[in-house]
Amino acid sequence: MQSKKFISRLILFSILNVAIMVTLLSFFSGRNRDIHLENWETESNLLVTGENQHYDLAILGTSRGRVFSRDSNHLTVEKLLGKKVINLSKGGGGGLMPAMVHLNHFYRRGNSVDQIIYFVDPWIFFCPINNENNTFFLRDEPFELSILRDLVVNSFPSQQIISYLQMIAVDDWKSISRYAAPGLDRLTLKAIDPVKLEEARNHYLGLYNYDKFDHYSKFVSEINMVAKKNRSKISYVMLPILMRDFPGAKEVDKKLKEISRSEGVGYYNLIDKMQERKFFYDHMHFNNKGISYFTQTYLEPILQLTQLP
Amino acid sequence: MLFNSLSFALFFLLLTGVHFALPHRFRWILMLVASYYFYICWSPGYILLILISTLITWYCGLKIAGVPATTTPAPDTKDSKNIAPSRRAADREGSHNMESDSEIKRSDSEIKIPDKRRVFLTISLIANLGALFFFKYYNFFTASIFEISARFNLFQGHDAPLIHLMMPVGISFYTFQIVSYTVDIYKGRIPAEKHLGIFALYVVFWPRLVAGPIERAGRLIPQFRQESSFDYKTATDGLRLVLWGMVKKVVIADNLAIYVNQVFDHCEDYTGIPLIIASILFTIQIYCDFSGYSDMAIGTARVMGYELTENFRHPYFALSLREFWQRWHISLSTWFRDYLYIPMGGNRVKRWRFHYNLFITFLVSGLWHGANWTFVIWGGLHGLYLILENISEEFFRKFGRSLFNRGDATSSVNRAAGSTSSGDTISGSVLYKGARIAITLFLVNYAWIFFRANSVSDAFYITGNMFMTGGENPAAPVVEPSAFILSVAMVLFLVFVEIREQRVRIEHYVASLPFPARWSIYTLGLWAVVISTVFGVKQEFIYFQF
Repeated sequence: MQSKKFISRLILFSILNVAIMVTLLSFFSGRNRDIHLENWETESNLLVTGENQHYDLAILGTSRGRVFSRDSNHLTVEKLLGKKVINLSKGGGGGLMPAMVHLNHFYRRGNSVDQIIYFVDPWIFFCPINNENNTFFLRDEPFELSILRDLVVNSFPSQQIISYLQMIAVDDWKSISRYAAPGLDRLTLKAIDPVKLEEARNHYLGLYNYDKFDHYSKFVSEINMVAKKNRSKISYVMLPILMRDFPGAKEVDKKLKEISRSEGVGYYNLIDKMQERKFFYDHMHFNNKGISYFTQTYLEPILQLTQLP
Repeated sequence: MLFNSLSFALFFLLLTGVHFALPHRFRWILMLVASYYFYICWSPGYILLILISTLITWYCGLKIAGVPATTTPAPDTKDSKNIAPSRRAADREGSHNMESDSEIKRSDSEIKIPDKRRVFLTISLIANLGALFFFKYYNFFTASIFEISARFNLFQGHDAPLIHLMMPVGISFYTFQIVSYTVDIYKGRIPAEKHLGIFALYVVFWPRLVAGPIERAGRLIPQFRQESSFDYKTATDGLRLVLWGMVKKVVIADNLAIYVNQVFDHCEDYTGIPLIIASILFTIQIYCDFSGYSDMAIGTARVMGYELTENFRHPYFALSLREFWQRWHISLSTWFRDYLYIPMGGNRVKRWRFHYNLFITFLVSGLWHGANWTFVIWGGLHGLYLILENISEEFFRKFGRSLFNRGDATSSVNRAAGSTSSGDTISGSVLYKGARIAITLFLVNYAWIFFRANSVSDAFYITGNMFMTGGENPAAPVVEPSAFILSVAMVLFLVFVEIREQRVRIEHYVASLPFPARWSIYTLGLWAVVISTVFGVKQEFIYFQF
C-alpha cells in the first residue's frame, strides 16, 4: 500500500516535471529563426538554413567540406557550377552522425535539394570523436527541439545533449558563429614534412575504434534513405588527401562501393588525385586554388553524371 | 557514476524497485552485485584490489575471532564489559570528544592478546594499509625523499622511481572501514562476520563506497540482516535529503567553485580582497560539496531502509575548534579518535604527551586527505589550534577561578554547586557566542587556504597577500558581476537554511509543509539542480580525490 502510494506520487511528480520541461524547451526552440546568415559568413548550418527553400546542391562533410564555403569560396563554387548551393558540412570533424542530424533538420524545415554531395573522410567511419562524441557540430547552432529529439533518439552521449542545451543561453548569434580564421584557405602548403604526416597518421590511429566501423557505416544507409525519401540524389566522394594510404581508406572504399551498388547511390574515390602541394594549405584541406580546380575538374562532371533525369 | 547524473538516477530507481520486490534473504546479493557494478563504473581496473582486500580481511577477522582471547582478571571487569555500549551511547549522543572515552583506553590495556591474534591483525593491517600506502603515498614519500636527498647531494643524476598509476576510487574510505573492523574484532568489541557475502557488502556498500561516511561494522552489518519493508515516510525523507544534498553540491558548491578556482589557480594575479573572498567561498564550497555528497549517500541508503552515520552537524556554528571536529566529517574524526588518538594514550597522559597525541592525530588526518604537503600543513595547523585552545582554556579556567576567589561568599556557594552565575551570563550571551563562532570560523577558514592551494608556495602567497592592497587592477572583477551576485545570494541562502536548521532539519521542515508548498519546493529544487547541471561548470566532488 505504502509503495503504491510512493510509486503513484513519483509518477505524478515525473509527469509534472516532464510537462514543465517540454513547455520550457518548446518556448526556447527556434527563437533565432529570424537571424539569417550566408554560408560564407558563418560556421553555423541552422542560421543559414531557411524555410521552404530549394537548392540545386547540398554539401555534407567535415572541415574538408566546410572549406568549400569559408571566406568567398562558397560564391566561387556557386559561380563555377551555376547552381544554388547550401553547405551543411561541419568543421571540427563532424562525421556521419552529425551529418544525419543536420540533413534531417534541413528537410524538416520544408527545404528541398536536387543533389547531395557527401565529401567523406576515412576517419569518420572509425572515430567516435567525429560522431557521437563530436563536441563541435552543435556549438554554433541555435536550439531546436527537433534536433534535441534526434540526439536522444540516436543515443548521443548526455554530455553532447547537455552541450546542445547550453545553446539556449547564447544570445549573440550574429557574432558568435562567425568563422574564426578567415583567409586561412588562401595559403599554400610550403612543404610536406614526412614527420608531421606521420604524426597526423598516428593521431588518427590513436582515435580509431575499428569495432565501430559497421555501426557508423549504417548511418550511410540511413542518410541515403532520408535523401531518397526527400527525392534528392546523393553521391559520396572521397576527397584527395596528401596521404594516399590513409588508415582505413581501403575499408571505407570497399564499404562505399558495396553500398553504392546495393543502394544505387554514386560513389567516387578521388583520394589519390590532385597530389600537388599547390592545391592545399595543409596536408588535407584545399586552399582556394584547390577548391576552384576540384570544382571544375571533378565536382562539375560528377554532378552532371549523377543529376536527376 | 556520479550521484547527480541521469545514469545514477536510473540505477537507483531500478535498484530500489528490485530491492523491495525481492524477498529479504536475496537482498544482500542484489546490493552486493549493485555495489560492485557501482564500483566498476568508477574504477574498473581496481575491482580485483577491493576483492583481495575483502578476502584477506574476512579471513583474518575469522582467525582473530577464532582464537580465544585470554583476559587477565582485571579488578574492574565490569568496565570492560561495558565498553561497546558506552561507546555506542556516546556516538548516539554525538559526544565525539577526543578527550573523553577513557574507558576504551583503559580496557584495551587490560586485555592480553595471544600472539596468533596479533599475527592475523598485523597481516590484515599490512595488506590494507600497505595497499593504501602504495597507491596513495608511495610517490609522495619517494619524491620527498629524493628532494631532501638532493639537498645533501645524494642520488645525484637519478630520477625518483615513481609509479604512474591512478589511485583506486574510495581507497582511503574503505581501507579505514576495513581497519576499524579488524581492530574491533581484535579488541573484542564486535564478533567476526562469518558470512563472506555480508562482509563483502559491508566493504563495498555502494552509497558510501567512494566518499564515506566511514561506517563501523557494528552499526552497518546488523542492518543487512534486519528485515525491512518499504516505508513511505523513510523513503520520502531520504529523497528530500538527496535533493538537498544535490542543491548543496550542484547549485551552491559548483557555482562557488568558479570564483574559487579562478583565484586559487591563478593566485599570483591577485592581492587583497579577491584572495579573502576566494578563501571564504572555498570554506562554503567544501562544506556544501562534501556535506552535499554525504546527504546524498545517507539519503539514498535511507530510501532503501539503511541508516548511515551522520557526517556533518553544522560545523561552521561550532564555538570552538574541538567542537568543530565533533561536527565536521564526524565518521572520520571519530575514526581517528578511536583508532589512533586513544591508542596513543589520548588525554589520560602527561600534558606534553596529550598535546603530542593531538598534533600527531591531526597531522595524520591531514596526510589522509592527500599526499601533499599542503594537506599535512592543514592537519598540523588544526593540531596546533587544538593545543593552543586547550592551553588557553586551561588559562581562562584558572584565571576565572582566581577572579572568583576574590569575590563574596555567594559566589563561593555557586562555585561549590558547579555554577558561576556571572560566567554563565557571559558565556550564554549572543555576543559572546557570536564572537567564539567567528574566531573558530576564521581559524578554520585560514587553514582551508592550505587545503585548497595548489602548492605550499601558493598557500603562503595567499596568506601573505590576502590582507595587502594594490596589485595591477585590484578592482577588476574575478568573474562576471552577475555570477558574483549569484554566488553571494547562494551563500546567504545557505546561511539562512543553516540558521533555520538549528531548530529543525530542512527535510523535516519541508515535510511539515502543506502539499502544494512541498511540491513547489521539490520542483524548484529539482529545476535548480537541472539548470545548474546544464549551464553550470561541472566540478568533481572534492573528496573523491581522497
